[in-house]
Amino acid sequence: MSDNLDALITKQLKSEVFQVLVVDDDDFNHLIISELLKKWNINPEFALSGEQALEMVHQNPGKFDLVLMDVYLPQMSGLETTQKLRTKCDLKVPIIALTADSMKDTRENILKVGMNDVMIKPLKPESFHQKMRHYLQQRLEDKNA
Amino acid sequence: MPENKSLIESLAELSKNDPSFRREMDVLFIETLQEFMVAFRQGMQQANLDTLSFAIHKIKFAVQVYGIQNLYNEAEKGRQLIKQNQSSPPIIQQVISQVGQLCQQQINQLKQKLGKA
Repeated sequence: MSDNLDALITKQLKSEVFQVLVVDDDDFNHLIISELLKKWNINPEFALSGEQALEMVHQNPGKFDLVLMDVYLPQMSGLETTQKLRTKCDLKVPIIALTADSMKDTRENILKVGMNDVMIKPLKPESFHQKMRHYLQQRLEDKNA
Repeated sequence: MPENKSLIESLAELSKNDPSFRREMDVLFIETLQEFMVAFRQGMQQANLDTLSFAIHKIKFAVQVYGIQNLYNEAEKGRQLIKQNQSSPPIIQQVISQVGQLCQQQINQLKQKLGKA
């Protein structure tokens, strides 16, 4: 992709309003993810547990454009939460796993329950932004279709 | 953004070297370490693998951001001892003390830095 086209797409995406739900129980992670999302002018909403995420999506169907999901959550795991978001809440938007576990089995399980992609912690800003751009662009196309 | 930059450098660049961001990150990391020390001690003393696994997993990201992988490695060694049932009370106490020292060292450094800021 040429630098000009790249910059144009980034500019276009930045001018859109995207709602991102981050499901993570850790304040430190909230801070880092918020900082990373500033590049896209996104001010995310946080759910501290799977149960809270389900409640937020249930209360506001259609609100969120993308979900970033920690896999290792207390009580209801990120995998179980995703399954419920897909089946009970009929959530269709991309769900991206955030995990510090790079094992192949973990990745397979993540994709099996209906998540679209995996980002391995520690998040590298450049790969985080590449993935975000991919999914935000896809989301924009879906919205405009 | 070059690939070889550490996450902490990249974050500093993203935040345009905003001192309040770095300060907030340091404060949260101190809290993370303090909570971890309590959970790790409890998990080791009670030989509770779930508590240990959860506590160690939770600090993995933050210690990588701060580049103190040895803390994670030492804590993981403790978890392995419990998992393999190879621990005795003196060994457990030694591991708790070693991990606690590493945490406290980091906490002291950060507090000193925050105090000067």
